Amino acid sequence: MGSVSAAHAGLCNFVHRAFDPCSARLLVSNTSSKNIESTTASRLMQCSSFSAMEARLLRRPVAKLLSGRSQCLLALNAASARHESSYRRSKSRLNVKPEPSFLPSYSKTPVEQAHIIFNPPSSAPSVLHTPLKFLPREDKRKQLLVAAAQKFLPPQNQLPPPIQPKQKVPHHHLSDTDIAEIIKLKQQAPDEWTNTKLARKFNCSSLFISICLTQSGVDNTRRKKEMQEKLEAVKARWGPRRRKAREEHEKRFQLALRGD
Amino acid sequence: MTVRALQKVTVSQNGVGAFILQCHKLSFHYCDWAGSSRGMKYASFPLCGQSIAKRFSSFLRNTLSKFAVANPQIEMEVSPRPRRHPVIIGHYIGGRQKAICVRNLQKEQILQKAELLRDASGEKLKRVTKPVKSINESVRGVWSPYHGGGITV
Amino acid sequence: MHQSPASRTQQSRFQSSSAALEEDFVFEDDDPSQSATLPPTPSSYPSPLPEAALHSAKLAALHARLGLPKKLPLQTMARTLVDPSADPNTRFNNASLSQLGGSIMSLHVAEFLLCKYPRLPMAILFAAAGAYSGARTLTIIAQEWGVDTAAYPGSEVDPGLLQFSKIAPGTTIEDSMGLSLRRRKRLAFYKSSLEKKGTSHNEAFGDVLPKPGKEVDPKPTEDAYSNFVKAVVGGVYIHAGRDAARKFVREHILSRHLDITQLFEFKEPVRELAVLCKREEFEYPVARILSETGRRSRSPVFVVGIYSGTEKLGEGAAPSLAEARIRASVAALKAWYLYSPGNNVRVPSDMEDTNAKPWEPVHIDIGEIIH
Repeated sequence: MGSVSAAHAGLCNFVHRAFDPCSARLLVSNTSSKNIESTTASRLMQCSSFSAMEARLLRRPVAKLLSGRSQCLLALNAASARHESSYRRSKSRLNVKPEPSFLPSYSKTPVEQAHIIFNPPSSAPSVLHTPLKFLPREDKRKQLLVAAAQKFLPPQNQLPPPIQPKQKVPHHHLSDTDIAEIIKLKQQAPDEWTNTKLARKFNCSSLFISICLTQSGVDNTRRKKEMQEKLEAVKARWGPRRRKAREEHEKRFQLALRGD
Repeated sequence: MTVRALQKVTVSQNGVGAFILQCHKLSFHYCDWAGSSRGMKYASFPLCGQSIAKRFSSFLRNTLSKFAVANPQIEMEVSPRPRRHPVIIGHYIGGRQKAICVRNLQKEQILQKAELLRDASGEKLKRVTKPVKSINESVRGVWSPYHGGGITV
Repeated sequence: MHQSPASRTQQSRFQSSSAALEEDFVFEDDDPSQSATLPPTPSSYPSPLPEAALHSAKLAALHARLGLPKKLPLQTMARTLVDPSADPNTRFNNASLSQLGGSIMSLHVAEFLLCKYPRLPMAILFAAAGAYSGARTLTIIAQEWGVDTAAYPGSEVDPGLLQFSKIAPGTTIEDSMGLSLRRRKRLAFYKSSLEKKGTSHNEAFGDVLPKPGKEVDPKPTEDAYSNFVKAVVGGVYIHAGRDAARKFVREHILSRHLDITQLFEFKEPVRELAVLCKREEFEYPVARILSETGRRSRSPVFVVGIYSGTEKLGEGAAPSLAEARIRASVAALKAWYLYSPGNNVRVPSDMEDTNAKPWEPVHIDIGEIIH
């Protein structure tokens, strides 16, 4: 049990900033029964490949020190032992005892089990489960779920922390005269008054400046071309590793836009 | 409109909705001369009279018509294949074929082989270890280490 | 009255006899009379004669395999397999049947999608309809029915084979459509503008393209196969009626599996979600960190949820906060667009049943998010 919980703690070194009950997984599993914890840990051993890899990395020097033979490594790592090759053996290892609340009512005292078992899955929520807020008014589920939601939704002061704690620049503080001033400055000296400089002067975001200047009539194709050339020059200096990393980064974002 | 659509095609789930029998053609081959085709089609022996030969009831004469009526989805083809053992070849929808040699078999045994070919899917034989194989998403989703924990009621 | 042999065969080409599901076995050694009953096959016709349908084992097997109603005769079944590019005569090819069947099929697919997912954006709706009944899918369906193509169309070909004239190898598709350079340029312009709008550029699914060439020109295998499947639906409708056609479409086309969550690709999901929340008068969506691990390490994981007020709309896990936020917004938008009243939602054509329950109005959405 000791080794199992150590592995468990090592795998899930989460920083739990949130007090949301959905994310407070560690707390629950630590306080739950021995049975549940060992189940979770064994699933972790099976499922998360990176954890197994980390464990192996740690073990390798130890095993080498002890025996000098790499075969011993397998004996330590029971989950991926190849010489125990029988299908039945790995099957029986996966055959863990079910959570007591999962057992059917006739196996225990029926009085104790006369309630609905609610066990939400430990998986990312499916997009096919429409949030309560998105259900249309005439949907029958809306009325049924509102009562339950009031009980389970966290109060406003217990929400998890937002990504951006504070806005860097104020919003909606510029008047029409300011916008006219921005356009005037840009038209007078487009090279001198760049978007960043204007944003600093008027204490707003450069995105807002670019929105203001879309219809200002300033021809910035030359500057755009210059900046593009600059960027190309920077990109030309990239080595193969950085280039690959950037390309993979781009691909990851493309996949994120599909939600895959 | 910032959402773009990706082009996909639907995937068949044979048996959900319509069921298409995977065997679309059975071809029966026999030899007129050789004795191994006796159960498939009576052989005409030069030394025996026609009456003796008729006594051997054969698959093609007696059973095939009933088998074909019972399985209208399958196209039946009968053709001689001289100086070879009799064979039944099943043609399947994926383009695969399966052949069973029926030399020296009686007509009942040949019928069993034909039914075996009819019921086959055409795929290579493989060991099935999982009771259910499905393309539907799991109800509880894919397990993730970052989720779960439950709600205290 | 003198009749020329050609006109006689012409007459025999027009006659139609009743449907008969027969299996003929020809024993070549002791029953030669059977083969004599087969009609003479003149090679002057571009497609097989209607009588030949009664003697084709392939065609009868196909009829039985699809579980088609007995009312649909083999002659019509044979006609569904003749493409206009094989036989230009409209009384012997499947052009009219496929036109009819295509309309019926798209009706059922559209009402199924619109009632099951009432909030789908236009582009996704067309893509989903294309996934169910587009040319590529119909080709796969026809091949899974076990229909093969004839090497070359003609009257001597088995009526159980799909007959059309194939494009010569080495021809580019634009050339075969017979388009001039100017027209091709315009086509490319249409395509690019439709892609900008996010619509697929398929003719049947959502937009207008200039008509490519004539119907009788050689065509890709995909078009011939899809016309055949549509023609079968049309044939079922004509001979066996509305309910049989609906049942056929449900069993063969709507029963297939499509993961509709995989069709989306967003451009600016964060902004789109903000616009949605403003339109629907929800609170401004805020990205919040649910949990994180290894922030300063090489492989961190952030789980970010998008909240509107106190309710979570979607969540996503990614190695960077920006990406996790995008994933969470995409999940929230998909949850909005993929709202479904239920799996067994009723469609308007259910009202055609005898003693159908009174119609309850389905959810109609005001439209997709525009910004």
